[in-house]
Amino acid sequence: MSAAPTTTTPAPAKPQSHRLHDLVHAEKVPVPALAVLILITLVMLLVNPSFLSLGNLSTLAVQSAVPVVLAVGLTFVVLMGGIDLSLEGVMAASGMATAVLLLNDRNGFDLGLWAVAVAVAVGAALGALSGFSVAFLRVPSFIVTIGTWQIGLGIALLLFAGKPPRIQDAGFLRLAVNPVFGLPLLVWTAVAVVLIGAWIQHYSRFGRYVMVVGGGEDIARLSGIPVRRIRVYGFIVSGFCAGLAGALATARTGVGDVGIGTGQLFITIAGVVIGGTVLTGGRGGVLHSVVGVIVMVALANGMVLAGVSSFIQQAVLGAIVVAAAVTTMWRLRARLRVVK
Amino acid sequence: MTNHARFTRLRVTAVTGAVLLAALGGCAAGGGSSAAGPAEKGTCKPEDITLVQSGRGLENEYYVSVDAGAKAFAASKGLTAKYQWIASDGDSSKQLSQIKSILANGGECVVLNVDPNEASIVPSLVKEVDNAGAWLVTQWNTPPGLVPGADDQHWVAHMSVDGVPQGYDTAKALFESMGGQGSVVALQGILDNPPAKERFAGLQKALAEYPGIKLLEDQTASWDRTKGQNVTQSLLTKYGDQVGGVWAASDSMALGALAAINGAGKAGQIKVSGIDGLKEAIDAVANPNSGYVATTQSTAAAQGAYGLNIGFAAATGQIDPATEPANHRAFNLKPLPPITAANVATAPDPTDTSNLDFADPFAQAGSEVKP
Repeated sequence: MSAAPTTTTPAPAKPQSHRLHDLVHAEKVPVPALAVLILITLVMLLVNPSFLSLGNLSTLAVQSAVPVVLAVGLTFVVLMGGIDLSLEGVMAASGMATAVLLLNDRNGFDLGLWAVAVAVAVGAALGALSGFSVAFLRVPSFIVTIGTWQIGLGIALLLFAGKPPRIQDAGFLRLAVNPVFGLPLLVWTAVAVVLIGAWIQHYSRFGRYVMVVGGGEDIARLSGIPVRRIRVYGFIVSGFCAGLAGALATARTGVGDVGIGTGQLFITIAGVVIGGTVLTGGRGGVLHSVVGVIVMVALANGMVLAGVSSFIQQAVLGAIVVAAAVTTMWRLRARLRVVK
Repeated sequence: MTNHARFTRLRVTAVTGAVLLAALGGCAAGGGSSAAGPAEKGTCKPEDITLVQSGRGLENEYYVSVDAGAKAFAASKGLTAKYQWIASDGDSSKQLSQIKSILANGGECVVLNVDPNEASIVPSLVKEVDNAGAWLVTQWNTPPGLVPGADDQHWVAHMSVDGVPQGYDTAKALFESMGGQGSVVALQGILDNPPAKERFAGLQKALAEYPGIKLLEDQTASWDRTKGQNVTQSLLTKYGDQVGGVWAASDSMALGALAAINGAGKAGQIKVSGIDGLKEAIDAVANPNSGYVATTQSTAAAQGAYGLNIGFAAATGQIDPATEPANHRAFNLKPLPPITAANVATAPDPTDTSNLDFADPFAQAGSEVKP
């Protein structure tokens, strides 16, 4: 026993290979998803090098902005083992609210950026409704958020009233177009959301509680964590992000559209899973999801650049999603884990 | 209890009768599907008629215009209070059950103008309508080879829009605006939808006539505005300054493409054409700096109004479906000239119903849809 290192002696430096091994196996960094992204990039370099041109990288950034914002919010719900299917409905309600409250061709409102604040509040309120129903009324999030999805669509339909409101606030429309430091403000907004989301997850009490709740609700409750409140907050964060995403998507199209979120749920959930955030909760994180979403957007863009025929794109996309998910989850396969 | 029993027995009798008739009709007509027997003209009084319009949902500008046309017809017959719009929300079984429950309250004087959510539900719809004795006009979707036949008394007519001239006319306007020279990319609808196929066939027909125009690539954007924007962005990255025009199979996708072009700082340099006649697209055509050169006139109001008008005429006995010619039973609306800078000033608003004339229910019937 005398040979055992005492607490005073510094631990010997690890050999290089061990450090690499640790990095690959660390769950803090979405290594498999990054590997998939690098693989896509390498393939695209052979097929069409303009994939890495500055113009296309900026295109990718703009196309990723909306689903990335959605994914940041959704991650907090998924980390707790829940799901938020209401994203498209929340986007519809918040996007339409943005359009009718900004200077537009339908009514006299001209709230400027306050319209975005209202849109985000609408999203957060719908999130709160979902969260309350899940945490206090004990209804599965899968069902509740289908309901809030429809409520969101209903609100959007009421505001739509037969004719799409067109935004005439030039300043707001510039968000999606005019570059600031090379990229539109839309992209910088998404970057800010990612940084704040990552900070909340890693450094705030709420973020750490989310991980604990996802790891095991009973243990979390025994440790005195207010599980129900944390769940409600998770859905509010998700609704907040979806509200913001609705406003950003509306800035891109310049018109209030009930179908503004169509297709976003698939990209976001697939991105979250490919990134390595496990649907049963407790594993993964904001940065994982962001990388996963970028993989999805890069795939769609890459297939157009590669000239893959429209007739087989859907199937190729599906196959790549399955392959990417298998790659990402390969390490988790052996652990004692129930897959549902 | 007694009432319930009687109702059940009656229904059993009715069903048995219907099955027998169907079997007899089947023997006589060799596979006909009508259960109500041939040649019973409608005998409803106009004021007893209920008008029902079914489509996807009013979040879609097209259906808003369909609804406007249908309402205009209802108002012309003083039936505004007996008109109803039902939304299927893109759910076939929902649409079918909504229609069943409307017919359950006695259907001989119900006139249905239905945009079936998918072609495959048409046979069930026809059966429901036959059993109830109601009057059905279908829009757009029907299974290949299935159109109202001589023995389909209650499936009065099928109405559609031929996409080939639409795709052809808008493509020609696009190519002309490019001076007949240059390269274009195309945004397709959902690839297996008949309108997507027809409109693309129209584009190809125009391409054959313009040897100076090259189609660089076609991609689907699934009728979706955001997808149209994303795909156009990617195509602009891929082909850069080569792209002189974007042909889109719908105005939603074309408006998405326009946003992508504006985002790339090429507003007005790359020309765009769409189809459908959305208000926003008409406004874009009216703006000479937008680069949006053509769309088509909306057929929505006509589909709503004339669909109900034909059903109404059959229900009241004004027409006898059995004796109407084939090009009144299944037809495409007459093609309308496209909207370009030349005529945009006089283009009607898509919800404008003032020029619809209800005296002749077949006023807009064009080419026959062959089974």
